Amino acid sequence: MSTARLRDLRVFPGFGLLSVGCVVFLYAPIVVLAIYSFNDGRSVTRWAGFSLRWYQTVFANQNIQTAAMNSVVIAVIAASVATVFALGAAIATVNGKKGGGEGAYVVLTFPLMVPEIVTAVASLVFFVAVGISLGFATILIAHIVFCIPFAYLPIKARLESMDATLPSAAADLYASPAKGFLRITLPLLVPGLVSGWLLAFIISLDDFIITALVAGPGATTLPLHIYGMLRLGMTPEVNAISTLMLAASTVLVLISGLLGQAGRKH
Amino acid sequence: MFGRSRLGGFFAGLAGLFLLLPLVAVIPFSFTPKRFLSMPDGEYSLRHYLAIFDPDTWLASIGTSTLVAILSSVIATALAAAFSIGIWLRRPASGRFLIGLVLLPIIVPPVTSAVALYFLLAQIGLLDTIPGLVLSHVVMIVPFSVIAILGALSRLDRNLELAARNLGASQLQSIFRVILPNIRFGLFAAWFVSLVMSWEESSVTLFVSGVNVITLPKRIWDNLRLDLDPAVAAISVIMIVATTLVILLRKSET
Amino acid sequence: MQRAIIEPNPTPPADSKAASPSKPGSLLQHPNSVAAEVRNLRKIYNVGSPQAHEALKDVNLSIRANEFFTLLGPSGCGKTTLLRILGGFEMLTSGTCRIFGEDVSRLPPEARPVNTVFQQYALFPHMTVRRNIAFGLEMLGKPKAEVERTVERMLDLVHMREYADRRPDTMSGGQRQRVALARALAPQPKLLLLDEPLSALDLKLRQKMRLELKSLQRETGITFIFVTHDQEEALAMSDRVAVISNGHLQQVGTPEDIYEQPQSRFVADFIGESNLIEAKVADSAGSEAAFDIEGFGQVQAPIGQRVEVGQQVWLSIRPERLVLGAVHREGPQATVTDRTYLGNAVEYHLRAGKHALTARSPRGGLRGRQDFAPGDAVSLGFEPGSIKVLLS
Repeated sequence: MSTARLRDLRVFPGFGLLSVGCVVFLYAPIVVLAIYSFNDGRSVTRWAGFSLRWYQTVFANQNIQTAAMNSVVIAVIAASVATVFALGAAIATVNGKKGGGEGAYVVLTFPLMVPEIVTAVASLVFFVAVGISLGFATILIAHIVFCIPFAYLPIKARLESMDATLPSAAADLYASPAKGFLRITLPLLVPGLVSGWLLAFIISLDDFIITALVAGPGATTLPLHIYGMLRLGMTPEVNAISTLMLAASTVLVLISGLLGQAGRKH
Repeated sequence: MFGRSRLGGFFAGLAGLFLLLPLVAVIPFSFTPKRFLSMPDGEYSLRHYLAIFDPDTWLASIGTSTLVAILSSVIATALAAAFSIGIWLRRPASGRFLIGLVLLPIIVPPVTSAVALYFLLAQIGLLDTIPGLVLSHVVMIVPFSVIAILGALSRLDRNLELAARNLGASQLQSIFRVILPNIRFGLFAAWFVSLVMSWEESSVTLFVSGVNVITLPKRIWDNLRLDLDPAVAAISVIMIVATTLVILLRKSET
Repeated sequence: MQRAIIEPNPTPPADSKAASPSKPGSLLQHPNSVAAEVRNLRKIYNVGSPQAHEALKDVNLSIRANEFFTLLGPSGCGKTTLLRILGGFEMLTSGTCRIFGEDVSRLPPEARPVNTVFQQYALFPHMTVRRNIAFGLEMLGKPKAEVERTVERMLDLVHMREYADRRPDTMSGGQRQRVALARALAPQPKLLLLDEPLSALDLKLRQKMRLELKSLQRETGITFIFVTHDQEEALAMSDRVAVISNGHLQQVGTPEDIYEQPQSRFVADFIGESNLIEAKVADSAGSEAAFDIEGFGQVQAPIGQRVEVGQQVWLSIRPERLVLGAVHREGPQATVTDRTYLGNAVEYHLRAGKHALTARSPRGGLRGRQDFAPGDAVSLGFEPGSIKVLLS
């Protein structure tokens, strides 16, 4: 088939424009936000030259630092604990495919389907009912729980793509179940574990709704702090901190994606 | 064959328990006869379920949420379809890049999206209006629609379009009479996902609306901030049940 | 020629009770001792559920030390289940399973002196060839020096020295196959189980690996138990073959026994090709009998068992032992319905009364042999001893 004929078939400029327009539409808010984070002026609408002063303000702000520190600590603990649970759950569900697996899968991913605000309400009601006072601990517990499904999916996918006879081969070669797991299954699961952990970490770091409801007075995270700042008024400082969060998320997702690809090639 | 240990089962059980416990625990609270959120002791009441039918508060918010969800999902699906079909037809060298670019906003932290949209809507004067909220939701959900539609297109035989053109259809005719009918399930899936996502969207909604336009998640949020109204528990139970029904329906289809 | 042990009346060799060292690694295999023995073995999947499925039905089998023993049968016949029970990957439902006299019925795979070459090899993808081969020895707690020595020996044995530091995913199917063999042989198992190891290879490589496997078995002196659905493979490599169908052991014997002396219609049909003809016993005298074939006439054939006059039996005859000739006045006749040129032979499809038969003649009518065309009437002759009488 000649290229001339193919080109003829494709002539319809409207769709190309629409595709590009779609991209522009999606990015406009974020690009504008990022640009104005470098604005030298106080205004968030009038451009007064390039400057990093708002980033300096962010890094000098003690409250932001505390909130960011809380966020990272919570995200590290929540992602780590959730990954351990997710690993156990993935092994149990992929193992017990006969019957139990399907049900377990639905249970473990159910929270992903429920509206976030409902999960938030349920968590809050639960903590109040059990009598745990709201604060750092409740944020941590809630984050561990809602991170489990996110950590679970990549680990499960990795486990399913693994040759199921490998553990049998290890046992055949005189490895006890524990040794076979440590020497064969676990090393092969590493890419899944890492991307599961990273995903859980990002989800925990970025969460706003559930955190806000179970935080109680005092305890704060970075998203909560940004929300608080925004209520006091739009300043370029908010732009700067939001842009930083975006950058952090992007880098983490890219790492996770690259690891996933490396894992698939294996 | 991955290990014969029961440890995995133990963790799976515990994880499932943690995940479901709060969702189940909220159920009895919704039946309290009291005016504040509490565990009913012996007496049960449906009064908080009836409260949902108050046309000035809950019902109004359900209406707002439904309106916003329908508008956003239709616009998002149309945009996503136009984008995906454009890429599919023209296969530009930058196609993969463009697709990546459209999907990338999925990873934007909700708070960043919220700040960005707040900023934008403030400048164009659409803060706390239905059009502003629809615009925000469309920006948030288009990438997910694109995933569903690209999936459907990838299963479509390219020769169909060539055959249509070969039989004398114009590009537009082939899109509307050949391509779109063949990806109708993908379109429906994209629309449904968009509808659900817009309906339950909360993190951005909280920032860009709240005084004149109050969606259901926003009203739940407000009620929890002010006082623990048991109606919140009731509406949560309804949404959990609805989610369960949707999952069961999908399971029974496959 | 070894006499086939026809189950279910096995005659276990006298020294089957000779206890053998239970630690893997020793190669004290007496030529006449029993390497593996299963008694009244049954395996039912999903016991008690509506999908319960009996994969093995009362199987008795003795495999001798140093034997290349093949489990042959169509897919789903239970041969892989039997192998997995020997390996410990599957628990038997009832019966016993002994390896060199030791009852291993309840032992997990890691406690059995048995290694397996898996169908898709199951090489550990995150380890080099060397580490794969060393794995079993390391798990047994062998001293480092011995592990390295054995690994080197195994690399030479399977001619994989130059690939020692490569990972499995960078190698071809044949190379992986060799690594899998080396890995399973390294701990010097008492039994090597091979689960259709050649099925993933292409035809040329498969034929080459047959010879290599056979010579590996002779070199190492380890008892091989080989599972396959490919009868040609089974005949080419094995000392003895067990034909399994539908969970039943059909026949055990040397490849010659299995091919020349099938004991049942299934074996006659599954191993090579056979014309199976229904017949009635017309007369029986000593070691010979006459059989009536409807619309065909009478034939004589030697019999191994007692038959009654009037009894329904099946006659089996290989296509290459059916001799076609010009029509005589008497004797069985047939009509050629189809002629297929096969290169090294010509195959004739025949109709004789209600019976459809196949005859194969080397190079057909060329070199002086008579050739026939569809529609020709031919006389049928049987080479002496070519008709087998089957009671089941």
